Order: sequence, then C-alpha cells, then structure tokens
Amino acid sequence: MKTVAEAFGTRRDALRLGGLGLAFAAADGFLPKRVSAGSKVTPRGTARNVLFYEINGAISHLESWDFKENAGTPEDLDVTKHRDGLYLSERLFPNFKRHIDKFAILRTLLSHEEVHFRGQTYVQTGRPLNLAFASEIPAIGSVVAMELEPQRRARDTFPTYMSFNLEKAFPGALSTGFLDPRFSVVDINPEIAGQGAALDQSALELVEERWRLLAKLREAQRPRLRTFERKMASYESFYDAAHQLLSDYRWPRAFEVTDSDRERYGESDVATSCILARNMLATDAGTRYVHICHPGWDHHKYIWDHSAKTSHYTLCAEFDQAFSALIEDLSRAQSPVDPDVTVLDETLVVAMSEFGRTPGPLNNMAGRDHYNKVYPALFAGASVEPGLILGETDAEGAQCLDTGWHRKEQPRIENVVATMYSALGIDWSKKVHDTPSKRTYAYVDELGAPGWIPTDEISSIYG
Amino acid sequence: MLAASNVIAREHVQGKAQPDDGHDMGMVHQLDTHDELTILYGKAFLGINLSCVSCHDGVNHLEEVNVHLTGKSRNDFHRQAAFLGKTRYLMYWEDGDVKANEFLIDDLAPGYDTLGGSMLRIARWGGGAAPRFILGGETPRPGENLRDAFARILTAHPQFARATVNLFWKQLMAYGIVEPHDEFDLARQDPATLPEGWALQPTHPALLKALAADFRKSGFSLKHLFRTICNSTAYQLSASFPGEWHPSYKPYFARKFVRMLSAEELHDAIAVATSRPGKFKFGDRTVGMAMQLSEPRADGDLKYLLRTFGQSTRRNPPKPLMGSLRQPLALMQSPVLSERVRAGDDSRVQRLLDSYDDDSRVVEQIYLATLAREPSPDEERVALAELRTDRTKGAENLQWALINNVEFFFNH
Repeated sequence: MKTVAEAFGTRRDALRLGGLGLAFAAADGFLPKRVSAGSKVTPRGTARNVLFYEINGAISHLESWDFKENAGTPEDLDVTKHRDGLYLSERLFPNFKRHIDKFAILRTLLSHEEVHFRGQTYVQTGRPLNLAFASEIPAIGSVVAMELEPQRRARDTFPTYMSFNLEKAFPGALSTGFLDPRFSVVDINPEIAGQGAALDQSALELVEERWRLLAKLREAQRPRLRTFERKMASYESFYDAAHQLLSDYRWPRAFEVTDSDRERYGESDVATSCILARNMLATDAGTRYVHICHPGWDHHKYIWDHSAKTSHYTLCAEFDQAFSALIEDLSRAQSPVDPDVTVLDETLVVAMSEFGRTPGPLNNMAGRDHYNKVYPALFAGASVEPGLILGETDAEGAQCLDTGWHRKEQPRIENVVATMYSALGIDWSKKVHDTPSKRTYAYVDELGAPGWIPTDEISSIYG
Repeated sequence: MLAASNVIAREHVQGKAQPDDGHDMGMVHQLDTHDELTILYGKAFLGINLSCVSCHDGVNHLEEVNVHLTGKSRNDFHRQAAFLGKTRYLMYWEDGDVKANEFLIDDLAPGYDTLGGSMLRIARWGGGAAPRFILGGETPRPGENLRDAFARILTAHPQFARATVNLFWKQLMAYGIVEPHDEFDLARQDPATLPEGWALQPTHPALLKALAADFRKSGFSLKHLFRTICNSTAYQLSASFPGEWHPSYKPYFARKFVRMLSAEELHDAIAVATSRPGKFKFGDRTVGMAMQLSEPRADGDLKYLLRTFGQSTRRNPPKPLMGSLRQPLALMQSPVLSERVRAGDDSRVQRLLDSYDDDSRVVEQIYLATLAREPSPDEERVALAELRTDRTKGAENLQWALINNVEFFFNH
C-alpha cells in the first residue's frame, strides 16, 4: 500500500533509527525501523520543553480571546480594550490580563471534529480518530518521548511525557499505540497529589519498606518465574522504573505545594496541576512534554449561571488564577541548563480547546454548543513573538476572514502539532512505514482529515 | 451469561433492550451514527473491520491487508448501514433538560442517504441505498422492520458464530484462532478456496469450524461455549513450560498463555484476596465488585487506579492493555490498596492473624488467598522474617507485596 506522496514519486530519504539506549526492556513493545523523512522541513529547535494546556470541553472563544459582543453576552463581563485588536473581560481575566501580552494569539484554527471524544483524541494524537487504526496510534507526547530518548541523561528518572488530570478527558490519557510502552505518559491525578495523601513522607517510607520485601520475594520467586512466558518477568522492569522514580529524592519534592503556591494558584485541581507541572519542569529530571487537562468547559447549558459549579465564570476564574501564576513562575524561573534564559524562554506553551462554541445568541438551554469553524489558540515562550494577534474573524466570530499564517487554508491541530515538534527540534515530516497495520504513520498526517491538508508549522507566531 | 449470545446481539441491534453502555454518546449526526454502529456491529458480532470500506472501496487499497474486503465497495458498506437508515437517535429530554447519556430510538427516519453529508468522513458519493447484508447479500422481507431484519440476518449468518467463538476463545486462551479477532479475512478461512500467495488466517480452521457448529447447535449458549473451552486439554495446560520454549510453538497452544488482568478483574481479585470489596454506587444500589457494573463507574483514587489499568470509558475504542510504568506507580502508591490490605475490620489479614498462632500458617494462607498457591521454602523464609519483625505490619506488607507481584495480575 502506498501513500499518496509515494505514489506520486516523491523521493524520500530512508533514515534508520538505531542504537537508542534502552532504559529497560520492553514488555511487548515496538520500535519503528522503517522511518522516512522529507528533506524540506527544518525543525526550529527553540524549545527544550512543550507545555500543552488543554481547555477541555471547549472554551467559548467569543468570551475569551476573540471577544465578540452578541445577544448572548452578559452585561457583567466588564470588557475593556486591552490594546489594538484585543478586547478582554476584566471580570473574567483580572490576572491573565497582566500575562496575555506574553502570548501570540492565533484566532483562526479550524477543527475537523465537533464531538468531544473525537476532538480530544485529536488533541492528544494530532489526527482525527480512525477506528480502523486507533489502537496503534500513539499520543503526541509518546512520540516526543521516543524522539528525545537519546537526549536523556543518566540522572533523568522522570518520565519524558507527563500529564495532569488527563484521565478526566473523554478518551483518558491515551497510550503509546504501536510504540514501546516505555514511552508512555505518566498521568498524575491532582485530586490525590494535591492532598499529598499518596506521597507524604510516611507513605513513601511505607512503600519503600514494602518494596524491600517485594524485592526479596521476587528473588526467591525467580526460578519459578523463569518457567513462565518472558513477558511476566519483563513486566518487572516497569516496577523497577517506578521504584527508581519513587526513590529519587526529587520526585516527592516535585509534589510539594507551598501555602504561597496555594494562595497564588488557587485551590482547584487545575491549580494543583499547574503547580506540579511547574515543579516538574523546574526539577529538570527528564520531563520534557507536559499536558495539563482543564476539564468542564462544555457549556451547553446555563453558561452564565453564577451558581453553577462549572459556569464560564467559575472556570475562567480557575484558569485566570492558575495559568497566570504558572506563566509568571515560568517567566521568572532560571533555566536549569542556561543561566541567561528563563524556563519560559525554553518552553513552548500552547493553550487551546478541541473546538470553539456557537456564536450568536445562546441556545434554548442558555448555553453555547460546539463550533468547529473557527477558534483560537495561545502560544508563548521558546522565541514566540509576544503580543502578536494573528488572523481575523468576522463580527460574529463565526467565519475566518484572514487566516493569520502563510496559507489561505485555515490552520488546524495538525499544524499546532507540527509547531510543537519543530520547536523541540523534531523533524515532523517523518513517516513510519513498518506499523502493525502496514499503514504509514505520519508524525503529522496530511491525509488524516478529509482531503489533503498542509502540514506546515505555524511560523507566523515567531513574527 | 446465561443469555444466549444471539439474543444479546439481536436485542442490541434491534434496540429493544436499553443499551446502557453509552458508546454512542455525543454522536447525534444520524448518518454518521449509522456508520459508526455498522462498524461496531461488524467488529463485535462478525469479527470484520469495515472501517476501511466506510470511506473508500476495498479495491486498490486493501490488497495487502484483507483479500475479502478488496471485493467490498463503499456502497456495499452504505447498503449495510442502510439497515439502520430508518432509525433515529433522539436526544432525550426531561424537565426541560437534555439527558446527555440517554437517547430515544424510533424508526421514523426516511432511510439511508448515500449523498448525505458527513462530519467524520470524506463526502458520501451516492449509489444505491437499499439495505443489503454485506456478507450474504440478504435483504429485508417485505414490510419487515429494518433493524429486526438486520438482527435476524446477522445472527443467522455462519460468521456470527465463528466470530463469537473466536472472541471467547481469545478471552480464555489469550490468542484467538483468528487474529486480530475483529479483522477476519473471510477469503482466507478455507484451504480449498485460499487465494494464491496467502496463508490461511485461522491457526486451527477445523477447530474453529467445529466450535462454531457446536455453538450453533447449543442454541448459541455462552455457558456451553465456556464449558467446552474450559474442559479442553489445551485450556487446562499449565502456563509453566518446563522445556525450552520456541515462538513457533505458539499456534499449537502448547502451554497456557499468560495475560494481564483487566482493570475490573484486577480490582475484583484484590477484593477477593483481601476480602474487602469496593463500594460502587450503581443506581440505588451499592455493589462491591467492578464486574457487577454494566458501565465503568468509580470515584477518586479507585477510578484513577482502574483507568490506569485500562478501564474503558465506553466512549472511546478500548485501549490496548499493555504494561507501562504508570501501572506499578499507581498501584504501589494507591491508598485503595493500602486500605484493602490493612489489618482490622474483618479484613483477610486480620482474620488470619486472629485465627492462627503459627506464623507459617498465616504466611501459607496469605499466599493461598492472594496467589492461590503455597509459598516455596525460600519465599516462606522471607515472609516469616517479615512477620517476625512486626506480626501485623508484616502480614499487611506481605499481602501488599504479593498483590504487587506479576504473578498476581497476570492470569497464568
């Protein structure tokens, strides 16, 4: 079976991946051997890290980064002109208004999806869900973990790909697909991490005490295990890696939340997620791709009901406090590898939803439904030019007037993914040919959505 | 489990039993929902993967993948989906609010539209829209309800029995006679009609045929099917293989193959081993076992633990169950597990400590309750030393260590 590119005779340079250091033996994993790459793209390599903040369920773009007054706009938003081209609600974003100028705002994304579990799968994998191959498709973070594995240092014990609260998303934290399980995400549940219940000193000491017993029992059990299938014994390598992590003094320290953190970030789960994400990056112990999931934004009903636990007001307040504090801290923290720059300077921060919400008046349940024709994303750090406003929508926020990048087609999640790969120095034109289904897996899929789509990075965010 | 499986299939397709697993949640695009359900039914009840031909013809695409499907066109798929063409999936309203997980089903739609728009696929390009079964070519009887017709034809087709016995064989034996179990290539099942250059797909075509025939004869009794497979010599082989194993032995089922427990099995195994069930709210009831739930349901740490071990959300395709660092990380730190092994409140550990003065009996019983075997002399020595330091804590630690042991969460 040929891809369209191959059928049209595009020359590809075969690139063999070999000699990747195996952190531990794969239980039932797979490492691609037949990988081709185009020669046309030049990865930027401006970022050591990527932090992806998923506003899950979809924030109304009309009452956030692409403000449009309409019949559904409440009167208490206190909207002011922040600067040319940017109106902002003082009520919803009292803190974030001090940080929004660090971002490039792209207003013109087009989503191929209009339902959550497909859209959220899209956000995690960079391609529309195709049931024929879903089980072999890895999460973007897992691809990053594979690509960056050669850069892992001996002292790196933290997983390359970490997520927070992602199990709350419709699809959960997606697995490694056809890639080796060692590139798996480690998802942290902020409900537990925030209470410190699982990670306080006495709990860790108890785990250590029990681990010592487990290790001795394993030793005694070894002759017996040898007679079973190898995958049983090789699973123990995951235990060894987990124990290595738990016994690294930096791991429990990365879960420390101070009173001042709480005060600044807030009490919400996403506040905990942001604090821990900051800690993971600051610790510099191997984590390079972070996905924060902020759920609850599916405002079909009563979007402006002040008493609702997850109204637009409440969730914006969570976002405003937690995300602002995170950006503040990242922009102040010194890079662990380069004293001249901040952690934000070397981290590409992306904040976006899987789609937008319906423009115009509210629906018959006083909410806004799903809308995929145009919606925004925020970019900061890693040489992104602060303050850019890219693209333009019509007066209703319903149609794209100007795409805001070098193409006449609207940018898509695929292009955001290309941008993240590029920033990390990853050649996003790579294709893996020896997948289990024999279908070519493209890092950025030009054929995933109906019809051909450009796979360019969004270079306009760099000015 | 007593229900004959063709009744399950029939009721699901007919929509007469309330489907409570919510997999179609959020998909209210009628035509696309027909397509998704058609793919789902193909995989679940016929073991075939119609995803490819839901977008394009098989020819010039699937030659290296599936010989049978190269003969199927997108229109064949649409005509299969057309059995659902009169079905409507309606959002269910109550007290002015839409109930997001519930749908009303009726048969008042005009029929499948092969030119209708799609949110998920390249545009439909037309062609006949009369319902026709994609395998046998059967059509509805005059006046017959289309979903009734589909259910009738589906369950009468020999592939329904073949796919079902293969699926259960796989669940019990770790590998199907045909793999992947939901990607049968129907052109490669019979040595007499095998296309040139291809190998047979089933490892044991005669066995598959006999099992399917027996399953039909039993009136599609799953209980009978379970009993037949479990009574086989192959099923009862040990997972322990004394000699040098070679991968080429795999198709002979020369040993019991190990498999990781599913999240629900793991939870329930912990519940049984510790004699401390969970508390799952399920309607007005509280149930103790994850297996008793008809849909995934858990809160807080328990939910997190189950999801980490692959519990489905029923809203997305199942994640392949594979090992990862996340699982031991979650299980070792889990407050749920710590609580279950804790001595006190009539836990297994507490009862054993109360019942036996002799530590070696406690150790033996914890091994039996947790791993269903006695400890080896070496293991017993290690365990006894742990109990000597602190009898109660030692016993808790022992059960914790045995649950965090590959022997516990690999069925073997």
